[in-house]
Amino acid sequence: MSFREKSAAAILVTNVLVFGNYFVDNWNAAVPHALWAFFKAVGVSISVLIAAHIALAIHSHLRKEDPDAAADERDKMIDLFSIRNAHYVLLVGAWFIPMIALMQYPPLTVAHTALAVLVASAIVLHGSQVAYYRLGV
Amino acid sequence: VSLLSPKTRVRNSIRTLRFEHGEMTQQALADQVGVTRQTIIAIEQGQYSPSLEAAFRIARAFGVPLETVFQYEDPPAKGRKR
Repeated sequence: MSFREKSAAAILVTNVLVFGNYFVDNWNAAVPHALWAFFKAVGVSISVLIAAHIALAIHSHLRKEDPDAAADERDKMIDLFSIRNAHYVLLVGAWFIPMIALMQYPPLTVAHTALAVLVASAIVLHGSQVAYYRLGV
Repeated sequence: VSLLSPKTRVRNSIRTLRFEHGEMTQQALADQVGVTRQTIIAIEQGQYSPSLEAAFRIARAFGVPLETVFQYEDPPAKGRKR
């Protein structure tokens, strides 16, 4: 596995676990609690990703791989296809959020829907990268 | 819209050519072509069809024509409606 592939897998797993846990616990929570939990989730996500990438860089260094290697044509193609897939999710979500708002759901539900769309598109982005690296592009 | 590309019909002889060139490593070939080792592995396994430019660089690394490295497998003929 290249550093890029491992990085995508780390971001995918972190997003699923951290934000999955956030949504399960806070979808209908009170605003102050949800706000605190949101900042906690973002903080945990950033901390875990920094630690994971340091560990991955050390692992790559020990295996004499270059974590700073420039993206080649396959990496760029995988990035393009993955961004396209994430864009589909974002596009559907962009239409879904105003619908939720117009149906007069509480502001927190609208905000959570918007966040869920962003998280879902990030999951699709990094999930696609892992899938294309594993299954071919 | 297919999110995953169909399996490539481009076959290659890179593994054989590496063997014939003194067991050239995938890393050595990758360095000559200007791609990562993982990309050479993906090409060898038929998981990725390289760009025309990369294909020419691979052929040049072995000093052989492009057709010696890559072969195109014709798709199965579709039945005609009468």
